[in-house]
This record gives sequence, structure tokens and C-alpha cells, in this order.
Amino acid sequence: MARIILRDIAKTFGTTPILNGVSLDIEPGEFLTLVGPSGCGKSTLLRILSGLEEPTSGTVEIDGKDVTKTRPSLRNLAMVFQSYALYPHLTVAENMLTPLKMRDLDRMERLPLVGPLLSRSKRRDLMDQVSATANTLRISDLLSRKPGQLSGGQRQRVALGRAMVRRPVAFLMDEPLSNLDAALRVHMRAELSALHKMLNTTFVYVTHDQAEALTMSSRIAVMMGGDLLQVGTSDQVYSQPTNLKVAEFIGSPKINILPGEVGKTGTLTVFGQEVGVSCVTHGPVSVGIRSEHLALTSPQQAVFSGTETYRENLGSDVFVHVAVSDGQHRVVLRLSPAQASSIRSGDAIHIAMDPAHVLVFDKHENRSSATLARSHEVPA
Amino acid sequence: MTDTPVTLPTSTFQFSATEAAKHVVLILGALIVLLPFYVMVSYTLKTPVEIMSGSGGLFGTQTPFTDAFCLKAGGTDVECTKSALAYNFGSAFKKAPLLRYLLNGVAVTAAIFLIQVVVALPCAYALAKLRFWGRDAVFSLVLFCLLIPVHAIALPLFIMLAKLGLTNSYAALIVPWTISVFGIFLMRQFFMTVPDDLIDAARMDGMSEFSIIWQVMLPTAIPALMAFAIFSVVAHWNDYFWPRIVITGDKSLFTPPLGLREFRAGLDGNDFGPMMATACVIVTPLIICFLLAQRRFIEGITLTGMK
Repeated sequence: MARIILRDIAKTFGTTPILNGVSLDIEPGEFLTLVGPSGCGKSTLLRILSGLEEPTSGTVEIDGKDVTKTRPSLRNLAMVFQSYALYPHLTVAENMLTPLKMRDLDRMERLPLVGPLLSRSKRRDLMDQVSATANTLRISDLLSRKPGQLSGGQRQRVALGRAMVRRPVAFLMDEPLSNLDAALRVHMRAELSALHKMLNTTFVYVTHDQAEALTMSSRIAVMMGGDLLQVGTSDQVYSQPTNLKVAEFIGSPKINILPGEVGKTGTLTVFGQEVGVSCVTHGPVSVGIRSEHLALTSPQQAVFSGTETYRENLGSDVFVHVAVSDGQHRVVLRLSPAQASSIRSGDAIHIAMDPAHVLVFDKHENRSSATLARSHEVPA
Repeated sequence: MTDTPVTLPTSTFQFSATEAAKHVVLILGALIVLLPFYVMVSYTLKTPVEIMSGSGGLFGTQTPFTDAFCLKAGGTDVECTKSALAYNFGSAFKKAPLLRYLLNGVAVTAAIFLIQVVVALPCAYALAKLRFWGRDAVFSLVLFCLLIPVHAIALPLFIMLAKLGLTNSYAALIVPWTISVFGIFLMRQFFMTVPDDLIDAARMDGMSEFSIIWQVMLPTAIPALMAFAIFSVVAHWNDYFWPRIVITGDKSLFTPPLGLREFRAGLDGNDFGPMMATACVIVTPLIICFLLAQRRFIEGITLTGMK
């Protein structure tokens, strides 16, 4: 378990800035996910943390020690790569043995012919560690195979095993699931979470898939354009995004964004209708509301209405895509199959917004506080 | 039993003029390439008389003949009557120390190839995977060096070696070839295809850059290395030009191609039989090596199991 502190990490390649001063505290034993669209600098941040890349400025601390200039292998971190990066010419056992050999045997003991003679008991000990790890990951029967003979999921496990054998202070994972097929990916998510619980070690996980981030992490750090936008639990990032970009990136289907206006008295109106929310800002705002917080209602109570353009049936839920009658906006409603079947195509759909879940963003895309207007307050 | 009707196998042979034309061209090409080999093998099976008169077909008549030189040297009839094959190969090994030449050849080509690999792999790795100032300029120099023909710099090289007092030595045969620009280029192109993740993984495991070269890059580069080995070994095993320049006196340093000169035209005429026998002995190791490497080639290509 290690506390990792990144301070003002900046990185430029040539003249292109990749990271603009990112600071992040990673708690011991937490599963922190760096999530963001491709090119946002999340992989670069992970590589700086691992020591494979040097930051242009800023410091990396692991357990209170400044390791900014320390070689990757001496930081005692383990990394799992997207392509698994197994040595193709070595068997699974040798692959897993390599980091141990490099750490525990000296130069003489690593020599090809003399080495095994000099360090028999040590090597037996290392091999025991490998087989113990292989047992935990249920890959003991693969130990004598070469990576070329393994399936994607098996390679994934071997890569995890190679990371696990050295008992690192933290695991770094760079999109480790993105080469797997959809079913296996969902399965491996659960396994990774279980592994995290079992090992009780710090995990730093990089992904562009917000679903992976939401399902596995204890905390999520959302990055965009080289900046850290928000750090928080899955719930916080999903329901209390501090920034319009975060709100748009997290969640599937994408959050609905509608134009709104805050009047002099602080009442929020969307398409000229009062929503039941008071704001401190004034003027035009962006109003975000998730698909599950939109509901069908009567024409009198509707904030806006529109017609169905498309529906996605997921079995348990139906996502109904609606073209708003102003002709410019589209929203997605999450309905139960029963509700959805009551809508006939071509019908006008009247939609209400749940004022408790309305998110208001000012013109700088920052979240501005919104409170329920008096008339909508739930009686205590 | 299934109800599907059983279709009788029909003849799939169909004459196609274009296919036939392709094969005729290929067969002609193969014949042209094989003809010298045919002559070489055929001559080793013939007596000098058969070679001179052009009789005896491919295998010669295989009738024992009496070697006139042997008789002159005081041999008896029985000693000097032998088959053409025995005579040709016998004199190939007797008249010239062919075994010595072959050993020289093996030592020189092996040394050249090993040192080339020792130099080329780190260079190629640096050019492909490390970021340093002026890398692209260095690589363009490598490409530029590919354009320089050996013969253009043979004289300066020879003078340098002579000044160092290295002519007529193994060093003269080996040193000028130790830096193979072609090898650097070929391995660099191959290393470009090795994923960076693999190198990063090795760094995380604690390997130094040199360990990465020898323990990670070298084993993954076996197919490319085999291709390079074929070019390097063939070129230096068959090289006649350079050994001819730097080995001026000492016959014990001769490489196999120089050995062929022992049988060139002299006062007693050309001795084609033993000469072709020598040629056979020289090319056989190469052909065997190539066949072995060819199998490894195909294995090597299927070995790449990264993704």
C-alpha cells in the first residue's frame, strides 16, 4: 500500500503541452481511475508516475519519498499494458519470473549457465512465488506455454500475474481491458475489483471507457485536455459533476443539455417554462439533466414536448430519443418498457424535469449552485 | 445417411494458355539459373578426357582411368587407376589444403557475423527506440552509407591496413566488415515494429538498456537476424575480391574462393575436374545453411505473438 502524491505535474513534447500542472493525491489502497477521452494526457500521467517518462516540471512522491528522478524499477511499481507486453520468446513461467530475477538475483546469478548453479535455492524460492501467484490467478496449467499460444483473456491474466509476483506498492494499469471482447471485459472488471479487494494495494487505472471507471473505482479522476477536471467517487462524478465537460463525458446515454435562462429573481426557465429551481447566477445557462430524471407527464405540467425519433431497447430499460419541438435540441429519456410501449410514434411526448436533479452550468461551463424553488420543496 | 446428393468428383484440370505460358517462363528461368550448377556437378563426375571432349552425358561413363601425372610421379598402374569422382575430389583436397581454407572461411564469416550483430543491434535499437538529439541525422548517414560501393573505398582501406601492418592477417579479412550499415538498417526497420510497451515492460521489470537489447530485442528479432545472417554469410563466404587484395602471400590464410585459384590455367592446362570438385565443396555448406535457415525463417514469422 502506498500513498502517491503528484504535485504540479506538467509535460510538454516539443512545444505541445500534454499536461498543464496536474496535482493528485492517491490514497493508500484505493482504486483510482484516470478517465478521459483519448489524447487527454491520462496515459502520459501514468507513465510519469511509473518513471517511464520524466515530467517537464513537478514532483512525484511515493510514501513520502520524492521519486521524480528514480528509475522505474526502483519505484517498486508494477504496470499492466494494453497490449500486455509479454515477452513473446519466454514461457508464461519465465515471463512471470523475469521481474523477480531482475530484482532478487545479482549479475552473476543471472548468467545463463553458471547462474542456475550459483543460485539454486534462491531460484527455487522465486519459482515457488511464481506458482503461488499462478494459483491465485488460476493459470497454473498455462505456465509452460508461450504467449503466442494463449487467448486474449489468458494473456491478460499472465500480464496481471507478472505484475503481482513482485508484490509492488501499487499497480498501474494502462487500458488493460480494451483488447478483450465485450463479454470478457465485463467479467474481467469484476475480477479486477475482487483482486483489488484481495491484494489491498493501491491501483491506478487508466481508461477512456467511463463505464469501466464507474464500475470499478473507489475514486475517479476525470481528465480533459491536460487538466484534471474533477476527482471524486463514482456517485459524485456522476450526479454532482463540477463541470459541463465532466457531465457530458460521464454517463451513458450522454447527459441531456438544454438552454436555460435565469431571470432577475433567480428562477430558472427552460424553453420559457419554470422548472422549479433557483440559481445565484443570472443570464443564459446550460441545463443538464440525465435521461432517468426526465419523465412523461401531462401537457399542462410539461416543461417541453417533442416527438420520438428513435428508440433503443435494452430489455430492462428503453432509451427514447426525442426531437424537442423547438427543432434544435434532442433529448434521451430512460423509460420502463411499459411506459415506452404507451408511446406511439408520431405522438407528441410531454416531458417534465425532476427539479432535484437539474444541474446548472454557467457560461464558463462551471457548475453553479441551484436550489429547489420554495414551491417544489419536499415537505419535511 | 444424409439425403444430400453425392456429387461425383469431376476432373478439375483445365488447360489455360496463360498459366502454361507462366510456367514455361519460370521453367526457362530456373534452367538458366541451374545450368552452371549442372555443369559444376557434372564435371566432378567426369574424367579430364570426358570434360575436354564433352562426352559422357551428365554422369560421365564412370569407367576408371589412369592418371598420367600419377604414373610420372612413380605410381604403379593399380595405384593410379581410379574413378573420376575419386580423382577429382582426391586432388581437390590433396593439391590444395582445402580443409584449411574451409576452416578459414568458417572462422572469418562467423567472426564477421558475430561482430556485426554486436555492433548493429545496439545501433539499431538506439536508432529505433531511443530519443536523442540528432537521431534522424544519424539515420540519414546510415542510409547514405548504404550507397557507397565497397570497391570505391577498397584502396584507402587497404592502405590503412597496410600502414597498421595488418595485411596478411585474419584481422585484415574481418575488421573492415565489422560495421554493417545494411545490418543496422535492416534491424532498425525491424525494431520499429516492436511495440514500445514491450520495452517499457522490460524497463519496469528492472532491465538495463543493454539487457533489453540482448534479452528482449534479440530473441524477438530472430527472423530478421536470420535474414541478415544469410546476406552476411553468403557475401563473405563467397567474397573473392577482398581476400584477394589483403592476403598477398600467406596461403594458410586463404579463404575457400581463393582456393579455386589453385586450379586455374597453368602450364599443364586447366584442371577443371578438381576445380569443380572444390567449387562443390565450397557451395555445399552454404546450401545446407540456407535450407536450415529457411525453415527457421518461416517459424520465426509465425512466432510473433504480441497481440
